[in-house]
Amino acid sequence: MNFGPLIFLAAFFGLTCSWFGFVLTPQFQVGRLQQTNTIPAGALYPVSRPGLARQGLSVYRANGCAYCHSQQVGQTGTTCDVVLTDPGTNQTALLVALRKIRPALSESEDKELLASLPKTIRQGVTKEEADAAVKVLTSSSAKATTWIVPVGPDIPRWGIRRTVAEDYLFDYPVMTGSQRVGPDLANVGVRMPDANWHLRHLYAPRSAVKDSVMPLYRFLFEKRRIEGTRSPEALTLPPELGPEPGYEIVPKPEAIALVAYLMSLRANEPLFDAPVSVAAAVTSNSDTNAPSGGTSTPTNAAPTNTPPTK
Amino acid sequence: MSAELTHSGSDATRAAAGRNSVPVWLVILLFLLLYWGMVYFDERGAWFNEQVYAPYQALEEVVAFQPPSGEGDFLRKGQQLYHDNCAVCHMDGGTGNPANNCPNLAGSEWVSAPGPGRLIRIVSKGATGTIEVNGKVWSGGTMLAMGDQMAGDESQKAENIAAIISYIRNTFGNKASAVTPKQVADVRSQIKDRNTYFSPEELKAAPDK
Amino acid sequence: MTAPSAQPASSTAVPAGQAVPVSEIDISCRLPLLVLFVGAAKWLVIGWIFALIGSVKFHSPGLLADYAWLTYGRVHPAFTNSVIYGFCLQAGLGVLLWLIARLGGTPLAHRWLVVVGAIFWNFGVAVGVIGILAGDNTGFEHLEMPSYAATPVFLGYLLIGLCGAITFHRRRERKLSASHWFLFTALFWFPWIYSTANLLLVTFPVRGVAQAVIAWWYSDNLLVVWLSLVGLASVFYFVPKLTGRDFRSHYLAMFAYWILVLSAGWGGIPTSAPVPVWMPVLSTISSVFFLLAVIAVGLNVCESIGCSLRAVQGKPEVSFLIFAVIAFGFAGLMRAGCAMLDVNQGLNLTWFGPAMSQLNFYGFFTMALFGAVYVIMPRLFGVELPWPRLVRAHFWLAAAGVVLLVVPLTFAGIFEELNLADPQKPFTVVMHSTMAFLRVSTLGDLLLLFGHIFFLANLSGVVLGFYRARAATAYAEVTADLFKPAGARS
Repeated sequence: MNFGPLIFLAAFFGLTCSWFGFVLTPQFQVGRLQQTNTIPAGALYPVSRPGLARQGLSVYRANGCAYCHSQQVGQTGTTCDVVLTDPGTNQTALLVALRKIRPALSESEDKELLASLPKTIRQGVTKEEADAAVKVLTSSSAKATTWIVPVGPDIPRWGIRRTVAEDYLFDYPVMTGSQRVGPDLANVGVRMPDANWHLRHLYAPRSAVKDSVMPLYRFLFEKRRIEGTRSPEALTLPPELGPEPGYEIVPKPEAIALVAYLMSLRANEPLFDAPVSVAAAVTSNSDTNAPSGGTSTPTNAAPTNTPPTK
Repeated sequence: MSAELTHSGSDATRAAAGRNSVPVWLVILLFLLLYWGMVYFDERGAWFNEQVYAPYQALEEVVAFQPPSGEGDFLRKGQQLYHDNCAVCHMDGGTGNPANNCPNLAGSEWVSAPGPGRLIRIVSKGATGTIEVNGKVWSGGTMLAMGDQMAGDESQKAENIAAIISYIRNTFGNKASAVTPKQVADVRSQIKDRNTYFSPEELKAAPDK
Repeated sequence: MTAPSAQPASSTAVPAGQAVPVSEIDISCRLPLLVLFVGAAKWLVIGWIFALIGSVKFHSPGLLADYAWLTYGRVHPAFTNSVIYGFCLQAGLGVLLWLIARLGGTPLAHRWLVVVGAIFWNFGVAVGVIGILAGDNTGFEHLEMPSYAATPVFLGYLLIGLCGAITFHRRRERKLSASHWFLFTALFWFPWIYSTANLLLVTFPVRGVAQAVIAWWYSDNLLVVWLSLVGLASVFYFVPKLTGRDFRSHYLAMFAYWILVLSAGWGGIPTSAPVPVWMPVLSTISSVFFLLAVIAVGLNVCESIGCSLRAVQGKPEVSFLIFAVIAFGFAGLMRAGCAMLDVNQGLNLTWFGPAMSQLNFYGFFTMALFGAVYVIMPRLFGVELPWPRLVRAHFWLAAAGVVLLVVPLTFAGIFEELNLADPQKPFTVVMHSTMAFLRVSTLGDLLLLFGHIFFLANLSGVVLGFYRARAATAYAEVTADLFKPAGARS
């Protein structure tokens, strides 16, 4: 046991194992990932970020935004909602079916419900329960479908589904972040689609989010004397934050690129490995601040009154 | 200076002196943990499957949670049919194959045309001749009457062709309207007596719709 | 700096089979270790200045907002890189070389090469930190130094590591102790992981999330495996020596070694990571297996000192090492708990994450190193520590500092996690609920800082004492020569 090379072999063996597991195999799996299709729309995902956003990624890297902002949404489970879309022709049978599924509701409530379809009949149930409910409903010539709803503490707050490898496919470097001193940014482009809000927030965070602890990024902006008319990209700031009269605050190209990158962060497409029904948030969870998903305009777009997101 | 470090001539002898063995319970614990580790991995690790992410623990679970949707099923059916019938020549990525003069579908103006009329004709009855796709000329290739050769009755054929065409118009970076089985059936009824391949010139003259 | 004039006799002067006197081994290490330790101490101070700027920004975000190079996202990696590469690895290498020389009973080989290596290393770290401040960081945590800085760092390590390997090869005491296994493994571990990470992340980057996986693999192998190997080697060597007892069990130490080598390298992928589930599951299993190493080390050290703190009394150096072992255990427990018990998968993204890593960093590795350096420095120079009471003060400050740093952050993390589970709670409100804890942990930082000052005072005291004595001798020689009667001159 007193041969030095033996120690070398031990170290070599131990490191080879973990190298094989966490360097080589991931390279074969996620390192060779290709674009995939969203489900069910079948669109290609992800698309490469626009050039300006790619420059913004490098601003994000250089200024270490990833030390306070993660870009990874977690998910602890998946539930199903049953949505009734079409009452069909046989209303009596449908009412019987509804009674079976929701015995607690009276007939008049059920009738009221049928007047405003599509409607969520059951919420947050398991896949088996949902399938059974759909079967009961469709047996009465009505049309019902199952919505896939990811759940977890991150879900309503930061995104509609967990993040998966596809979301970072074309990025270099991939910065998933390690701590959430600030909000998760994986979906910030969906949550906060207003570029001017982002610019104002970078220049003076507390003007956009009360009590923010984010440092000020004034070095991404330039104070200029107003020559003739105000330049169109100048920030509109409250007087106590703005420059002295005759001057204006104009974002430098870095700030504009960074905002373009932030706006391109939309890890919310439904994929095979992260299934979700995109319109689920609209029909069933309208009381939460979940992004409505898809490419439609998010319902919580007004940035000044949404403290939970920033 | 404290002496205990300097008097010893042979540090290693002393350091290696402790020859007490490892307690048995620790070894038993090691094996218990090994067993637990295997069970834990078997239960949650999905055996290295690259498409299973937490909270899912197996591929079947991921498949079960795929959202059911009419349109999605339609496109997935199209993808399957494309893979079975078309990908031999046009390749899975829609890149085409110069080796057998088979033009690309990805980025092709024929595929993304506003109306699906020509595509339905090509798929139903086949095509031959010199065809220009995105400025590149392909000659000498022939496509067989794949649509007519499909299994099933006329309405099933129409549905399958519609699924394939909808799929190729919405993948490989193409973005065009999906096609309904009714559109396909309408066009096919116009050309149902034809039994020769289309030429590109004929196709260009054909109504787009 | 002048080289000590007392050159060690070359090892060939001592016939084979005969032990080299330890004083000679110590003298052979004097200059290289002085360069390494002074370099490390310097980076510790620089790192703490960056840390201070960073923590001030938390309390007044508007401060220094006009300077890009002082923004938090640049100062923070500058701080971690100064502390990891500047202090931890550099001082760790110094201790490693001394232990290899002492354990092998042979003088340090090619000590000038070590000095050159140390200069490369320090140059590389300096360039790297400046690069980070200039916005050139690579974007991978704990590997931020740009490629033009990584090259000299790597080269420096190779030179130093080569000398370590040659010294190991020339050992006169053929018997291998457990510390040998830990140290020699650490020697090879770093160049492999560092070159792999730099090649696959910076030079020829892989695609997509594979980058993040490799970055996690690298930081786990550096911060858990490498630091544990070197820290535990010091504990296993010094604790029995300083307490004058026999090392309890070589086999128990080797048990811990194999657990570390075979399983600890599989840790590091957090449960929240956007990667296929098998990777975080393997990391969770690895973090639970780590507890076996914790048990083995704890048992070994406990029985080596007779399971009572009496062995520690009056020996502050040992207190550092025992504290390190306890912190090692708690850090292992926290990692396993974070992976196993965190049902919401977000705990590692709260303040719990920094609490874990800082316990490993300051509680375990740095404390073990302080203990080792306090023993090594007086022996290198043959000068007693000038202020032994400050060592005790340093220990209590550092111990209190680590506790005040880690405990509040741990609770802050748990509260943050519980609060974030309520989707209606605004994020800023959750963050502000952790601020009270942060303030307490700043107090811990401050205590640590005072401890570091005492550490530096003692070290510089040793060095100054040595050179003052040498200067006095030289002066005495010269003057004695001058004032000799004229006739007596030859």
